[in-house]
Amino acid sequence: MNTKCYDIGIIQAFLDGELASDLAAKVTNHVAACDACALALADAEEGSAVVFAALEREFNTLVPTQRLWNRINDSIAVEKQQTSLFGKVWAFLTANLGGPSFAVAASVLVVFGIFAAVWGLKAPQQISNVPAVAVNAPSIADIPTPVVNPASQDKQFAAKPTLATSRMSDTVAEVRKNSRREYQVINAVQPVAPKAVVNNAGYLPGEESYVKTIASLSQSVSDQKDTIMRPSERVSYERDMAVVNDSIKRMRDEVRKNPKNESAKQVLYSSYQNKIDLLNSVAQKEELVASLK
Amino acid sequence: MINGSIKLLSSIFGLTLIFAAAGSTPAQETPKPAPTAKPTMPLPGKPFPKIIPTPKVFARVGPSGVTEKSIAVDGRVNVTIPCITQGDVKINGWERDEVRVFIKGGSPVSFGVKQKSQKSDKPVWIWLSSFSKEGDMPAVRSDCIWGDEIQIDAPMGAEITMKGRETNTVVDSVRKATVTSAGGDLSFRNITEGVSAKTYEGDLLVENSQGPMSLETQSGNIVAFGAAPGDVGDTFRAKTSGGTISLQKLEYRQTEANSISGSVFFDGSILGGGSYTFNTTNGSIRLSIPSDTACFVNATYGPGGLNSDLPLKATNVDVSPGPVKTIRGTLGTGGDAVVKLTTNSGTILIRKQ
Repeated sequence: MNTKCYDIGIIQAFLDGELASDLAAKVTNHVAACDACALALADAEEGSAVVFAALEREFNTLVPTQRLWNRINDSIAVEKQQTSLFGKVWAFLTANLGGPSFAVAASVLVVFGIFAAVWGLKAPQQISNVPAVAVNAPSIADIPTPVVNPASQDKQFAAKPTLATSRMSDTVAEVRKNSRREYQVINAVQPVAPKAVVNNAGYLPGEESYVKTIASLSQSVSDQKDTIMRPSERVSYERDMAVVNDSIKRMRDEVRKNPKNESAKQVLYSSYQNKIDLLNSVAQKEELVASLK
Repeated sequence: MINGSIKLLSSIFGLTLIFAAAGSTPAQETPKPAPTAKPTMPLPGKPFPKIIPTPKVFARVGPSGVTEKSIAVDGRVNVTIPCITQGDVKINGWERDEVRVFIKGGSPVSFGVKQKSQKSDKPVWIWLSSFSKEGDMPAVRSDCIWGDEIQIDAPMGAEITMKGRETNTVVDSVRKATVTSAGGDLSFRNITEGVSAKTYEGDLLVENSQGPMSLETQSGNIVAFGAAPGDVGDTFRAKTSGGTISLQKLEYRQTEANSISGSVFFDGSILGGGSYTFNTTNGSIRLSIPSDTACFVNATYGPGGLNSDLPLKATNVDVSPGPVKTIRGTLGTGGDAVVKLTTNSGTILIRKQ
């Protein structure tokens, strides 16, 4: 048995349950055998009883534990991550709009926005008056399609390279020797201008639609040719197709060399249309024969 | 006994004669030969036989697959033949308000009345097919008619619409004709209000006709002779892939001829205010025009070159080296007619008539 009495601090900690278990066991055994320490413990209990009675209201208040605090904080963090942007903004506004300073600032912003919108509506009209010289790609209206006469649109195609050439001529005048070299120089100095003549895929304006139409028709017609055409007709068809293909190839080469050659362009588009007509004739004949059964 | 046998033989012989006479009756109903292609004209003092003005159909079937039918119709009837699979087809206009069909060595035929005139109660739209519900015809579930020889007589004011598969077709002396054929030659004469014809393998001939013309063949030639517009603004359009286009004595102000591997020949006058477009990819273009022709010429050609008997005053010349050359200029005093000539590899010739 330990004869040495414990000081009042340890006894008070014993009462508060703050001692380690082994020390708490020793204190318990000692108090059971030591009258002085038992008296001191009784005094401390009385003092604690007075203090607890005075602080009963405070001690009875529900105070969350640290684990509960951690769980609450974790839930708040997860909820923040899952909240949408609109939700955050709405939460921010609802939390702050009550403030008069924020309301004033928001009013100023709204008035400024209205003025900006009115000004913006007027702006495009001024832009449309600017000559469309620097347009890089042809507009949709400029692009010929296989169903319209491409010859009527060639003049529109021709206008853009001419304008581009006139613009660039001042800067590269000393370099150019002839029209072909001039065009090459323009290509090198400002790659934007030639886009009006040949686009990234290497097509003239409107040519791509012809090529796509021909590709789709060729695919659908390839299986029909053998069944719908007689040998003599097939020979004639293949001969005409070869003539058209040769014409397309020669005219494409010529237009690549000399983009200003309007006649070559017209013949090229005409040849494309002839090829489409040839391919169409196969499909049309198949339709006719099918309707006559 | 002998007398009885003689009597029995006599009666058998008599009955045989009677049955033979009865059996020969249908043979007398063999159809008459088809009328000629020319319109039937009444002889002096002999009017046409009276035509019963009802849509009742008269039909006769011969013993060897010969069919003949007729129906009274309105003078401006539309005759639609949705399908002829094969045969030589001759469609003639005559001065009767009646449609008659004669088929030799082929299918039966029936008329379907699609519409009647409110004034005359006569059919204004009839439909020819081989489907028949009549007792004297075998029922055939098909629209298509066929035969070695198919002759159709229709009023001169009739409009003919026909689709054929393997047919050589001649249309003569009707108001308007629209014919599409998968194969076979098409000929049109004396059509007064226009022709629309398309064949995928065969030649096209138009002669002495008026009205808008649209002629298209895939691998045949096109010949037009003596055609003129019926109304202001009527156009002439001819298109072939592998054939030659020959146009003579046309009077259209808007003329367009397009070939791929054939040549284009034009023999006629360039009318003031007209627009003439002749294109070919691999052929020549030859114009034969009066020496006093006045027009604007836009010629695009390849290595074949351009040769003109008439003085061509060039206003814009681009003959730089390359596959395409262009000459723009005027013939005579210029005028307001435009002639556009384009050939990739052929020659352009302008000759005096």
